[in-house]
Amino acid sequence: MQIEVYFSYSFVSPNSTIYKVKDSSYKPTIIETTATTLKDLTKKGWRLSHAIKTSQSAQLESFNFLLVLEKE
Amino acid sequence: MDTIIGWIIIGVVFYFFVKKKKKKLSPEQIEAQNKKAAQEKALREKKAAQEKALREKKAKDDLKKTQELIKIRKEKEKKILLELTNSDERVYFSYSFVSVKSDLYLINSLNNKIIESSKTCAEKLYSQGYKIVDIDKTGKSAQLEAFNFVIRFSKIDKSKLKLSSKNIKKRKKLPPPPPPIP
Repeated sequence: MQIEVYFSYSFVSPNSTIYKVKDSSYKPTIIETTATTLKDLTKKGWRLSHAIKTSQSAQLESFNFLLVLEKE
Repeated sequence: MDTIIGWIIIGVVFYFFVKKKKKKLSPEQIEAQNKKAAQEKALREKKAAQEKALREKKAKDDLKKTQELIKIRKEKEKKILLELTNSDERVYFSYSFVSVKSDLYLINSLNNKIIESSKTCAEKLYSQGYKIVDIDKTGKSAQLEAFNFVIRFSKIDKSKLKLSSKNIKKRKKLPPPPPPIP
C-alpha cells in the first residue's frame, strides 16, 4: 500500500487544488508544481483515507486541510 | 624660605622617627620568619591540592553517576521501544506532519517524551505493512511547521481478513412461521 499527503488551502470539493508539501524542520513549503485535485488522483487509483482540518477558520476560502491518500 | 626649612626639618624628624620604629631583626629571627612563611605557604598549597583533588573526585563521581543514569534510561527506553515495535498497533507523534517523509516518533509513556531512536516516517511504515487508522492534530497552530500530530498506525494482516469457506458458519434454518390465526 502506498501513501501520499497533500495540503489544501481550501478543500471544499473534489476539484479544489491540493498540493504536496516539501518537508523541512525549519519551514515546510508548498510545492506549487504538484498542484492537482482529488478528482484527478481518484482517477489514478488514489483513495482519500483521512482529511484533517488544520485551521480554526470557518470560512470556506480558508478551509485548510491535510489530506492523506492511499493506493493499493 | 623659613617655611621650606621648617618642612625639611619636619621631614628629617619623621624619617628618623620611622627608622627608629623599624626594628632591625637578627639573622635568626629572619630565618625563623622565612621558615614560618615557607611552612604557611606549604600548608596553603597542600590545602589547595586537597581541595582540588576533592573537587576532581566529586566531578568524576558526578560524571559516573550521570553516565549510569543515562545508561539506565537508555536501557529502559530500549525495552519500551522493543515492546512498542513488537506491537501491531503503534502510536506516533510528529512535530510537523506535512508529507510522507515527515519525522514520526514513538512516545515513551513513562515520561511522555518522544523516543528519538524510534524516528521513522509514514512512507517506511506503509512499506512495512502499517496503515494509518487514526490521525489527530494536537496543536492549534495552523502553520505547517507546527502541525503537531498523533497518528495511530495498525498492521493489518490481510491473510486473516480473507474468509475461508471453512470459517463461515452456516446459519441455522429457522422453522417456518406459524400460520395466521383466522
